[in-house]
Amino acid sequence: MSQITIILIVTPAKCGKCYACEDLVKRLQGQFPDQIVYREFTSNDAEAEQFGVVLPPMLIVDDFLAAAGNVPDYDALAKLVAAKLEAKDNA
Amino acid sequence: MTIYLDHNATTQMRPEVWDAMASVEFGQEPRGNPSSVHRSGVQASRLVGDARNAVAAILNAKPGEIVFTGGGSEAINLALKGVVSASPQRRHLVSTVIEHHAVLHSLESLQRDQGCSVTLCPVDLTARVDPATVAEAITPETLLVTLMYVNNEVGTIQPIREIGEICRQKGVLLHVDAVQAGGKLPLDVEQLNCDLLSLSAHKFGGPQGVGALYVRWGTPLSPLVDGGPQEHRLRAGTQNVAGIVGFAEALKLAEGEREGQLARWRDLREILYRLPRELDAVRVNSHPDLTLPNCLNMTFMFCDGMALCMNLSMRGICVSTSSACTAGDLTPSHVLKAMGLSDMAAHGAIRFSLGRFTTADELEQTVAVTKEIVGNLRLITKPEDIGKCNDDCPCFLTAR
Repeated sequence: MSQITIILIVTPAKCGKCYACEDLVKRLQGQFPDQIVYREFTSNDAEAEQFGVVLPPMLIVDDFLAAAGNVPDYDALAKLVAAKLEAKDNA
Repeated sequence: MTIYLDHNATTQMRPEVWDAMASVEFGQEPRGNPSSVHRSGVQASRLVGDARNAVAAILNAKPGEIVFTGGGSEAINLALKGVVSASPQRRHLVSTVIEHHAVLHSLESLQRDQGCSVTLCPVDLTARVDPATVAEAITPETLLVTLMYVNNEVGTIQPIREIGEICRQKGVLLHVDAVQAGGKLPLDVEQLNCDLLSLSAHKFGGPQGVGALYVRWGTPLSPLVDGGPQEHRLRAGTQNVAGIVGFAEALKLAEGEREGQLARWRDLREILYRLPRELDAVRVNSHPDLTLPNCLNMTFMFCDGMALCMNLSMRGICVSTSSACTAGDLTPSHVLKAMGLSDMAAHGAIRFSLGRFTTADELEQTVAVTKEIVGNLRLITKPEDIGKCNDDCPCFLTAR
């Protein structure tokens, strides 16, 4: 079974949008059990630098920046995750 | 490995320029102050003089008409505020709505602090200003017309020579913001009919933090910075000797390669034109003929330009959005808006700007990665949020 990595970059003191993005990821993990590896950084962490200008919350699905500074639509995000997993399955 | 396609923002310094600057800083003679009377100072003064002669020759100007500054924005500020300060009898200025903020904010400052009135001329859907519109805007009170030679966002070349003739006939000064044109278009100030012309070294392979202002002999101009008599008493402060040497070296090299470079960019740009051909709903905002060929601005409908820009950056490709980003609040480009694009279309715009080192292979990779990212962005973007465009939104996609 394929897996994807979702990275969420949040503000050091999490804002409402950060919490909303965390909730989104939890829902995705429920919809795609064992297929999502989740990592979370704050915008001050060194790991965040590789993504250039940081506009938290930033949600990165594998190597794709799905949202920056906003909360993405759940259905659209689930569609993206499904497409990424399918592409990996077919690879 | 980074693919850098943001050369209109700044372009890499050329190794020859670095060598020339290093010879100033680390040569046998200690680098002196050009105002000093000892041998090190005299040598520094000679280096600045040689650079001034070289720049003047390229501009078909006299060496005494070149003022080195701390960058393009400073040159523009000196031109606009210096002329107004030296000419209290006339207080009307003419420009366009698509100028760089160095011009627009200087004009706002002059309105606010000096009681000037300003007329900003509109542009057409190619971002060109009609010379007749400029002529109509000029009144007996008009002191100066200021125009950009090449637009930084879409690459449009303005009809400077024609507008310069109008200014001459009407007895009005013309300042040309040539920051994006340096090393790419002819800078002969006699051909351009201009009285002032601003340049910035880092746009043509020189160092950052060095600019120049051409000031036609007899043009009234007051300094912004008071102090010593440097730069013909128009820009006080010890000159940046290495930077000025680098400026001149970079301009000489770029000027020598100008025609060949333009032809190379025209060929390379064809690779980027695959994007509107191979992707749906891509608007080309840069006119194919009226722009510098190193610049191509496109709107990817149903995509957020900033998200596309950041995704490209994560894949090692540096491009620019046309939007200014202030504290996360995206404002659509004033240039694209002036061209008639909707907010939505302006938000989806990306600028690719090529440089001397850009290769076909880099652009092939850019096309492939951009197509992939646009496909993903369109999966997650809600059409009601972004990307919808008015039916009358202009573009050049169908023109090709």
